Amino acid sequence: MLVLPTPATEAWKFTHLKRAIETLPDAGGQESTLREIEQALPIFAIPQVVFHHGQPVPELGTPLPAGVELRPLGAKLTGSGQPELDSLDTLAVAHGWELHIHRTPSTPVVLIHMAGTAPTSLQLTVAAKVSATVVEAHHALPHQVGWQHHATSVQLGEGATLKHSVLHLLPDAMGLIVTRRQRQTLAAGATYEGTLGMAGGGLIRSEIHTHLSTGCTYHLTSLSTARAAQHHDVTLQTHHAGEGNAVVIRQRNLQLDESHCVFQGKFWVAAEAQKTNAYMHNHTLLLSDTARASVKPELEIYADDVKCSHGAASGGLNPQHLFYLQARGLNETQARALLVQGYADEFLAAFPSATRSIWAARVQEWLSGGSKAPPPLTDFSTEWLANTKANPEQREVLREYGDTLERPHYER
Amino acid sequence: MKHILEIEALQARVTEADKAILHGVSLTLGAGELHAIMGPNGAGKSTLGYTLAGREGYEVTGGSVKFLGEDLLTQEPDERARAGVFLAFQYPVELPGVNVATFLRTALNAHRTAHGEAELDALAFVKLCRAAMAELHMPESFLTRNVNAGFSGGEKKRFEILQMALLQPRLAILDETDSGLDIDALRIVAAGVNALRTPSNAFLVITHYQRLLEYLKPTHVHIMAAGKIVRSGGPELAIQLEAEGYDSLLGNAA
Repeated sequence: MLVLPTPATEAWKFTHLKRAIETLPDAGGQESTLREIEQALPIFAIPQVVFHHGQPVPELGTPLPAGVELRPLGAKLTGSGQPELDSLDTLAVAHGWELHIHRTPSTPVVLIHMAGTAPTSLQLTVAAKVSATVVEAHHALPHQVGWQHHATSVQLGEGATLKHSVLHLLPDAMGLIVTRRQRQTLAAGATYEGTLGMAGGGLIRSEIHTHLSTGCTYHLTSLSTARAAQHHDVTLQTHHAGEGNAVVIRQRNLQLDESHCVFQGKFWVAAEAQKTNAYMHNHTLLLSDTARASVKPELEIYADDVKCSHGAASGGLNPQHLFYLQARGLNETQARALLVQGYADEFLAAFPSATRSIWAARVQEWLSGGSKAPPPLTDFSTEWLANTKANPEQREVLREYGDTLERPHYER
Repeated sequence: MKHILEIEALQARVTEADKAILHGVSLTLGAGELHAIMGPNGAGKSTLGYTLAGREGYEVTGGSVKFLGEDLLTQEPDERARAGVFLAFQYPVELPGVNVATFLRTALNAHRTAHGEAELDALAFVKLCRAAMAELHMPESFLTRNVNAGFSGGEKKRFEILQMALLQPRLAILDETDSGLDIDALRIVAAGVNALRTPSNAFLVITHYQRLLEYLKPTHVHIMAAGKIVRSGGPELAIQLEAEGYDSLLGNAA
C-alpha cells in the first residue's frame, strides 16, 4: 500500500499530501473523457502533444518538428541516477514517454497535460549543443477532481539549452491535486532557463531536483497566484557537483483569502563545486490577513570558494504606492489591480511571450475573486505567430502547421 | 473672482509621529494665481501639501478647506484628484512593474470617466501623450519604462509635470519640485508649469529657493514657520528672503 507523505518528513514540512488526498471529494465517475477534452481543446497551429492519463492522444496532436521525436520510455524513468525520495517515486506508470530532441527544432513544442488520475512519466532529452523551447501546460476540465502525480525527467547534454515553461493553468477546483516531481541533470556547459507558473487547483506541489555538473547555467523564475484555501508548494533542490555553476532562482507568490504558499529551496554544494554562484529569492505579496506563506531556504556547502545566498520578503501592498496612484485619481480597486499586475508583470517578462497575456488575464481574474466560468484552454499559437517577428522562416513553418490537419502517429 | 482654494485655520497632526504640525493655516487662492510657500525645514510645508491631498496618517484636527466651494476634507484622495487637485510629489515613488503608458492612461481615463467623457483609446492616448512629452523634452521611450523605476531625479520631476499636463488640474500643489534639479532641468520644469497656467486654475508651489520663482513669477509669496503662515507678500518677499535669510526675517516670530 502506498504510504503518502506527511509533514513528518522534512521535505513535506508544510504540505500534508496524505490529508489532502484522504479528504478529497469522491470523483463520482467525473473523470474527463477524451471526447470532452477534444471538444474543449482548440487545435493548435504549433507542434503539440496532448497527454491524457499520461498517454499522448494522437487525435489531438499536431506533427512535431524535425529533430523532435516522441517515443515510448517504458514503465520507469531511466538515467536519473537519483535515489527515491519517497513513495511517490514508486507509483506504477502504465507507459512512460520520452520527448527526444536531437536537433534544434525550428519551433517551440507544446505539451498539454489534461488532468486525470493516472500517474505519468515523461522524459525530456535534449542532445548536446541543441537548443529547444518546450512549454508544458497543465489543464483540467472544470468537473475534473482527484490527484495526479507527474514524474518528469530532464536530461540536457553538453552545451544544450532548454527553455522550459511549466504552467499550471487549472480551474479553481479545490478537489484538484497535482504533484509534479522533475528531476534534471545538466551536463557540462548546459543551460536550463525555466519558468514555472501556478494558478488554480486545490493543491499543487511542483518539485525540481537539479544536478549540475560544471559550467552550467540554471535560471528559474516562478510565479504563483493563490486564493480561497488553495495550497501551492514549490520545492527545489539543487545539487552543485562541479565547478563554476551559475544559479538564479526567483519565486513570487500573490496570495488572497486563506491561501497558503510554500517555498523550499536547497543548495547542496559539493567540495569540488568551487566558484559556484547561486542565489535564491522568495517574495510574497499577502493581500489578506489570513493568507500564509511558508519559506525555508537551506544551504549545505562543502566548497570554500563559493557565493551562495538567499533572500525572502513578504508583506502587503505598500501604502505609499497606493497613495501615489490614488493621488492621480485611481480608486482603491484600480490602484490595487495596477500594483498587483505590475508585481506579476516584472516576473512575467521572463515567461515565453506566448504565455504572458494568458497570465496577465489570469492575474486580473484571480484578483477579482476568481472565475466562475472555467478558464479557457489556451491557444498559444496566435500569440506565438504574432510574436515571431525575428524569424520569418519560423513563421512559415508555423503557418504550414496551421494548415496541416494531418494527425501524427505515436509508436507504442 | 471665484476662489479655487480656501483654507481656514487648518490644524493637522501626523499620527505616526503623534505630533501636531499645522497650527492654524489660513490661505486663499484665487483663479489664475500662483502662490509660493517658503519656509525653513520642519515648518509644515509638505504636511500642508499632503493634508490637502488627503494622505493617510495626516489627520485634520481643526479648521476647514474648500475647493471650488466644496468641502475638500471629507473626500477620499482619489476623489480629490478627480475633482481637480494635483500633488506633484517631492519624492515620487517607484512602482515596480507598472508601465508608464498603462499608468498614465488609467489615470487619464479615471478623470475622463468622472467628468462624463469617453475613455481614450490607445491611439488617441499616445497622440496626446507624445505632444505633452515633446513639450517637456522627454523621449518617447519613457512610455515603455516602469513608473519612476530607475529614473534620475530630473526625470522623476519631469514625469510629475507630464502627469500634471495630462490631467489638467484646477489646483496644482508642487512640493519642492525644484529640489534635485540642475539648471537645465529646472528651466524645462518651470516652462512646463508656466505652459499650464490659465486664468481658471491655481498653483501652490512649495519651495526653498528663489530660483524657481524667478521662472514662475508668483502672484503671492508666503513664509511658513512652526505650522503657521507668518508673513505674506508679493514676489519681493522671496527676494528679500533670499538676501536676508529666515533668521533675520523671522526674528520677531521665532
